[in-house]
Amino acid sequence: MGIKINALKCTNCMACEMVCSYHRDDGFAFLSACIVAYRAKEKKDYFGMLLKEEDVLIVARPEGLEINKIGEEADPDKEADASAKPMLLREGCDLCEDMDDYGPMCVAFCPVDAITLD
Amino acid sequence: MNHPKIGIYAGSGTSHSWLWFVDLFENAGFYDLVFLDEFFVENNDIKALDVLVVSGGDTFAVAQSLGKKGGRNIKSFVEQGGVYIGSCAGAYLPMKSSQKPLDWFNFVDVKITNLSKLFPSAEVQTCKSCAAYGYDFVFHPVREAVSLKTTSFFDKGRSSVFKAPLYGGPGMKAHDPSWVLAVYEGFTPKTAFFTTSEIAEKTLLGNGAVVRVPLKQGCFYLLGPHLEHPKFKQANQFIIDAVIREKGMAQDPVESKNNKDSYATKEKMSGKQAKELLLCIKRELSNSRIVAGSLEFLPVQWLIGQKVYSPQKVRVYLESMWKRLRALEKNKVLIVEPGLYDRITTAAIQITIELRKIKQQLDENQDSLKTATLIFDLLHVLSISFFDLYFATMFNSSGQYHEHTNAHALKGTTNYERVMTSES
Amino acid sequence: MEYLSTDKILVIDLNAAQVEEEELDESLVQEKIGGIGITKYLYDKYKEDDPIVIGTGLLTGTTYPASASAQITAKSPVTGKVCHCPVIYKLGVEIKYSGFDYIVVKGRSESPVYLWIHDGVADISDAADVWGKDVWESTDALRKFVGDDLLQTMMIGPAGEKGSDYAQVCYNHWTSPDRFGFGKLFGSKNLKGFAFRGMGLIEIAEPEDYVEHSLEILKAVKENSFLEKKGIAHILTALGEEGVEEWIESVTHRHSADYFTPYATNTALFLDEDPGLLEESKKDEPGVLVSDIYALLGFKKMGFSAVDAGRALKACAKYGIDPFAVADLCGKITLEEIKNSFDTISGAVAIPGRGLFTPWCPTGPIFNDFGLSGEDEIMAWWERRQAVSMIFGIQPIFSLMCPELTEESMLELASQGTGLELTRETLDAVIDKIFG
Repeated sequence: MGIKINALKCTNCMACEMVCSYHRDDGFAFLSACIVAYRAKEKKDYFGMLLKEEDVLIVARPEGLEINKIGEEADPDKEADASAKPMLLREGCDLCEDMDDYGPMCVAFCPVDAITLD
Repeated sequence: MNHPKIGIYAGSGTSHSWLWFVDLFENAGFYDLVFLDEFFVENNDIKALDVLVVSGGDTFAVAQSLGKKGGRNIKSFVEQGGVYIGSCAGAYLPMKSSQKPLDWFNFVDVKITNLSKLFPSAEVQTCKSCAAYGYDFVFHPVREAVSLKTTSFFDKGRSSVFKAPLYGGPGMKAHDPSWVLAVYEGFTPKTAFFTTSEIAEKTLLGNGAVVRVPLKQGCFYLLGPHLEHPKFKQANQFIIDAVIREKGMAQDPVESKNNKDSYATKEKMSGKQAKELLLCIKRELSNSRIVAGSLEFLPVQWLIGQKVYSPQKVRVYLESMWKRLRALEKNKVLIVEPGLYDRITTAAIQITIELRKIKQQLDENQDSLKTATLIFDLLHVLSISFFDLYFATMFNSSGQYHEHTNAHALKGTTNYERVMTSES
Repeated sequence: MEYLSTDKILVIDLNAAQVEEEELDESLVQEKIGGIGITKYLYDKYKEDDPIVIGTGLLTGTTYPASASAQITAKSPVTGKVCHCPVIYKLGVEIKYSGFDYIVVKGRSESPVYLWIHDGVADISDAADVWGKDVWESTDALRKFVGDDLLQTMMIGPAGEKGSDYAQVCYNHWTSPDRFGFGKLFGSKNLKGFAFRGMGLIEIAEPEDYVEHSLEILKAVKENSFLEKKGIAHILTALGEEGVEEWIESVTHRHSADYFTPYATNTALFLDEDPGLLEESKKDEPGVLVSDIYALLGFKKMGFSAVDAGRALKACAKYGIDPFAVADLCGKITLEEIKNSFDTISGAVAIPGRGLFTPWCPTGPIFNDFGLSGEDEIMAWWERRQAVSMIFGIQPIFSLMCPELTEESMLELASQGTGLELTRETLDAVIDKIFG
């Protein structure tokens, strides 16, 4: 069982990032989320999602999914805007295992169902 | 309440794991902490300390920075009753070695088990799985949480099992088996293998993970894994218990009173100047952590000496200071040593400048190693000064004070000045 | 103010180049709730200094659906009335997480400055390097200087610096709901704009109840069939405009939403790039993000192709000028003429109702009819809906789409989030005060 992301359905609203961080911090913040709305290329309207799991980093790009194992070097030919490296200070996704009422929060709160449970 | 006086080495060669010791001791109520750079260890009398901690980093760089003199001081400190706690790189440091500059630190007859004559096959990360060591290789068969078990030499009655993370620390064979307090007992579901499981088992299991080597009146605690890691509470407790066992309530009331007198000579800063200092720290820590946050997603690493650094490690330093800022802001009076104001503000501003520079260098695909090296040096300077300020201010009511901090003001060249002038 | 708040009001005196902080008192929230309830109060408190007041809604940046908006309250230099402009995209949320619930800017700076607000620190920074630059250049320059591409900005362009009545305060690179000439107000104070970035944490009085209730509301919202659609074209179709979807299809890239907003109210047009491209474009500026439906419609009605309409919108965004005013008032025919007319436009943009809220928002319900009929009833409903959205911080266009976002639910969550008892009577009183 795992998180499945449809990057083309995503509208970059950051709901997932907020609720994931809430799950870890018990307050509203964006710091601790393991799922992040990638939005650093605003002028190019290029956006997607990054999800850190225990051993891998899932990069949900609009053109397709990329799964990078932790420790692998990034592709030097790719522009350095999507990380092959784990987000060190963030914990890996635990599918909100302690939130029985909701299941994974990002799945529950995505307004456009771009994130589902596989 | 009396606290053991604990010196934490935070100078050149260290990585960020000493910050875990700060959290550990603060949470345990050990507030009499002093933060040492290599100049202090080299040139000052560290025998006033009860405990000296050297955590992770680049062992060779640490040894080079501390130098022969620093090594002699450490040995003398232990011989005269001090407790040395070394984890990971700090564990390698006092072991016997023919390699320069480690041969200045041949204090304990303990050998590492993760040494190979052949380049070991690494399935995943070359840079983190081994390092050249003369004609041999120090290799790291696994990483992340491993399982340790205490021996009968630790507790005759019963053994306990607990977990701690291994990030390049040694497996150990002690000359005297009674020195071994805990062994590597097994691996966990989180253990990441860099070699085959056979090699990993052969290298580690049954070998020393925590070793206590007596030396005259004192002792060396060598910790292979990072027992100080904040997520491993049982391992943390092992360290606290060790400190209490060795030093406990070390100071008698008379000594405590003397400390209070020395505290009285420190500078008190209040009013506008204190506010300005805190605002400057807050401003620059915020500026820095904003840039550091943006570096989080960039696929870059720097090999500084023998150690790999990533941008996220910058944030570890910054967050460690940031989270304490609010508590510091609540104090109307700050306790500072002379010169600290300038040291902190200049280092903090310079870190922001260099981080912004490195972001630009990375965006433009330029070489950023020199800037990264400078940033980590500056982080040491800033964090040492910050924690001096923090612990002196927050816990001055206990009457404990950092006699060594006056030494920074009295000395000629400090590490801070060396770093700043190297760029001019 | 312990919950749903940073507990801080920032007061910046540009004359004296001084920054002060006040605590946000719980009694003020109890009395005025938040958003424009409090920005209006602060405006009145400092009105001798012709202040610009920026505020965040009480629910801004939480798990309440569409809690995206912040607000600017100021006296319009064009209409002379104290008006309220929503702050959208991700900027509204960033303001709260940068450490202040409310920011008052009074006086005038002697030289151009911008305000760098970060993690509870406010710096009055020299804007010499960005004064004279267009909005895009300014935002890019500040992001580069600060070292973070996620920096959120509120900037004026040449239109504001020159004192144009049609000058907008723009958000990041994009045009905004500002129809009040706030860009002129900023320019008159030598204020280039704001930059925001923060990593704050907001505490909640009853977090589990708040989040659970938010999810219930979201589930109800998601029952709406209009959520199968995305983007500005469908909004215009729903408002009775024909042919927009077909007209814009050939340049439409993707649609994006403001923070936590279930409907994607922003559409990116690719003008110099294949709109079907999914990979990151190699062009630095392939197009423009459009949220101003009436400006887009205005250029369509002038007979522009979708590409030229996009180019006109992009030019307006860079210049920092209200694109609707340009389309409505410039009287020009070609794209080049329009671009050259920015400094010579004259005429007035009509502000509906009491003149307090921006007509950037359609003045009536969208997708759902809310059971309304008659112009007067719709206008009364619209003004109240705008007021409520801006008190609580709800994306103002989405609030016109979604009956499930009730005043009761907002009050209930506000009470759960703050631990205060906030009633309908209080809300009515706050709205009355806003309406004057």
